[in-house]
Amino acid sequence: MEVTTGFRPRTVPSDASRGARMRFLIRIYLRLIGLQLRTFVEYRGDFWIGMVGAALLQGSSLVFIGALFSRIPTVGGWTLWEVALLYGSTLIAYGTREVLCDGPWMLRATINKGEFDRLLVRPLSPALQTATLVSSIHGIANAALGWTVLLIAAHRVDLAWTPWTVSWLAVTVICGTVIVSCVAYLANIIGFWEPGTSSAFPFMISNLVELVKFPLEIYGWLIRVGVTAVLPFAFISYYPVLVLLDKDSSVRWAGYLTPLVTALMVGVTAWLWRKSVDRYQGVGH
Amino acid sequence: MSASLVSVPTRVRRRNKYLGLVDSALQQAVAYRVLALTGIVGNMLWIVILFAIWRAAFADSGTIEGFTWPQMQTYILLAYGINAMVGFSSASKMMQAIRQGTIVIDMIRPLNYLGTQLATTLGLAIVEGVISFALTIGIGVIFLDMQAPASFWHSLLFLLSVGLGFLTKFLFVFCISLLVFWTTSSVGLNWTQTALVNVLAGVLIPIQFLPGWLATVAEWSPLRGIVSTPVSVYLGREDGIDLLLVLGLQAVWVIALWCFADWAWKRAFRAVEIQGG
Amino acid sequence: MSASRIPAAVTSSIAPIGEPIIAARGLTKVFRRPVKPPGLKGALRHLVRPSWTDFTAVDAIDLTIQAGESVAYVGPNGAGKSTTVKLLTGILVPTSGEVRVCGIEPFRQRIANARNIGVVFGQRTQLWWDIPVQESLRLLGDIYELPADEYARTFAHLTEVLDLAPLLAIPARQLSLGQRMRCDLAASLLHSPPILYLDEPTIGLDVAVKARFREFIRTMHRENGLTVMLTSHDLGDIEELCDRMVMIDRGTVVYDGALDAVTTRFGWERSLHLTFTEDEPDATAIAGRVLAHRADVTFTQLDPSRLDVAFDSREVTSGELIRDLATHLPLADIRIEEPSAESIIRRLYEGQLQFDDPQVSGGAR
Repeated sequence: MEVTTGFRPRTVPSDASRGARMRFLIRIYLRLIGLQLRTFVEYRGDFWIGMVGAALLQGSSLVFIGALFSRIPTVGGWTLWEVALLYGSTLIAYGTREVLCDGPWMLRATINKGEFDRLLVRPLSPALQTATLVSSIHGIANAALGWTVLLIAAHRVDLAWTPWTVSWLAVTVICGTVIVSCVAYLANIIGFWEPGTSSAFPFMISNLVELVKFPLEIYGWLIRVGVTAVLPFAFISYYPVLVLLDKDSSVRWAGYLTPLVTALMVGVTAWLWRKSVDRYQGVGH
Repeated sequence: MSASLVSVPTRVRRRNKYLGLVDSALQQAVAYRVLALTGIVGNMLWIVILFAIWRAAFADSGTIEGFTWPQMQTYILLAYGINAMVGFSSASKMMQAIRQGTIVIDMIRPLNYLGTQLATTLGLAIVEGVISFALTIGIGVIFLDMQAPASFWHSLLFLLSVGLGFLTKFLFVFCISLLVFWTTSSVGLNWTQTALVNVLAGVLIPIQFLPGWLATVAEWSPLRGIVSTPVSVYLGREDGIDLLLVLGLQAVWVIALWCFADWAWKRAFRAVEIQGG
Repeated sequence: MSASRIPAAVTSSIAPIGEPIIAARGLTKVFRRPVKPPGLKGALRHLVRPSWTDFTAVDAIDLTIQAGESVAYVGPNGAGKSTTVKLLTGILVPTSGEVRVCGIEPFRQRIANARNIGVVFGQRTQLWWDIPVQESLRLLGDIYELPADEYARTFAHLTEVLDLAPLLAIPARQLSLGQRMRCDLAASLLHSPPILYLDEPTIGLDVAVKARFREFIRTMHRENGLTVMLTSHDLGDIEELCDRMVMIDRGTVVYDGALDAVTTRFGWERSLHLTFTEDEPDATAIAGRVLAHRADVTFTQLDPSRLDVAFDSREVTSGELIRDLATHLPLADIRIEEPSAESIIRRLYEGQLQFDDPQVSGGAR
């Protein structure tokens, strides 16, 4: 048997540009996500009941909103369809994240089973691998419901479809998905710091997104500050929608900061992630 | 099922076994008290949201659909507290038991499966449910403007109604969980159950607020007895004959659901046996 | 066991002669564990005034492995074996000291290092659970950025040698442990790394599968110059696969040398297994009397028709013993047993044997 060309140290050619690496990472990411989604389609019954269940659950709170506004014209100065815009954008961000970045929820289990080591031994960033550990296909139902609500609401508020509104909508949706994905990481990073014990902390943190389905006017200052500055969930729905509706509000200017806030969020998350992985790897002692 | 081997009166023995199940479920729940507590606190987010929304709504009008602001606060708290007695985790456990084949063990034990599940759920409910209930009442009394029951008589009937409401929810979830025989995912079923209860039992909003056709469905459905009936008893929205009627309806539904559930689980088990699953 | 011969041509094509493929100097890893008194009071106290305790898992070890070597890394539980491997694979960061694998520092250039190593964790598969094996392998080929033709060639080669054809369409969760191990071996070598780390690879495998596993590693080692680092409690693995043994205990290297040498140096223990023509219940007493003048001889009588005599071959030869005993006991059959590396190593673990030879590298303590 002849010696194969391998079995010697390997270097990736140094002229591999950053662009090529980026394209490679995206391709691998898509393949890994696709892998997770495939396994769902195989369990036919589960697939449908999951979709239907998720849609019904979100639908039940839509019923609530509809019923509420059948008796009262406005809440906090917002009409039914304006609130529906908030609701829709939140749901889109949330559902899209469930499909594209659900892996962080498996972080604690992965670490406890000792399988995080396996991620470190592969020539890929552990953050990317973590994102793709699992994917929840029912997120599609949530996102689809969100788009439906959003588009119907946009029609009902007579939103004009100009290049500006369309691109702003795109920005909103993208930033929203990124923000909730960052929070998914942040909430589950506790798995590095307190492994072994299981807690509801990650769930509680990520559940706070429910607050921003409704206009911030109804909340006290504590919650308003909380979802603006601490966990910027409000930038998924409230602030960008203020801009979209050109609503008369003293904080509408904050809406324009949405991309900046998103970038900041990514930075903070990346930093905290790095610190957590460093700790796992025993850096510093 | 099979005859008992011990020469103890079957009645007494069965009761002890049921109590034993309640006890062990209680112990398990207490062991996870931290987890239970954080879960309960997490779910209270919706109370915060509902409270904020209704406060904003009542800022403009004193009465909405016959509710005053203190009444609505009371409604929100009681609705949440009662609904939490059979929570997401109780439902999951019921469904998991079926999926994991614990059911086989239960089938071998000479107990009624329906009774077994009730006993287990009761144990869980006592810990999780009582805690949530107490928490909500505590918050309501201390921080919010929660109302007292309409009268002493009403408060007694309220407790009775809560008991019936617990049974109603348990039986409903039980029946849904039997569907796990035919799907493998319990999560989707659990969401469905939650969604139906949220709307039709009046958990999210009193059923009087629902649009015409939906309100009719809700009024006639058994789920009404889970939250809507007990809370309206508490608030004294019914009196005299109406009060007895509404309680009677609740009780009738419980009996009907029990009979259906009893028939359903036997049927389901038989169907599974035939399939050899 | 014969020393393996690595074709010189292969060795030289892997690394410059003399440049070790794994070089660790003064490698140290200290773990800082918080001291948390139990209960709520303890947790609060720790919040206010935290105290830590240091645990040195790996204490300034020097380790040099040349390309093409096959090294067994042994030691009792908690000795620091898996910590060392984690330091070499880039999972953990050293507290101090230096480590280079193929010339790069594993933790500083984690991804580059990852391309040069294959790792097999026993009982933990690196395949994706729900997809067919073939797709796991293809995905790995993508992750390691293998050119299509190279992947095809390596895939075909490994499939043939490991007999994977019947397994390729099956998802990993449906494979037996032995089948998964074969697939994991393929997965770990798909990118043709020069180094393969095996961490307790044969736990739970049955004898037949173990034999095939060892055969495969031997082949890869001999014919492709694969550098192998094996951590195993299965001393049979070690005996069959490795030329060299590094033993670590409490964070320090207590032995580093050829496996043969261990057997030779500690192989002075012998056993004579005697079987009698007729029952002799008093055999121990008789033999004790006859050999009273011989030191360091012990007897074990399993049943009236057998007797085991353990002796130090430095003190007395088997021939002398047999001559002494033959006239007093009705011998039917004689079997002389030499200790295996396995039994020696086991006794080293248990502290019965000591290293007192100044030649031992790494220093004995």
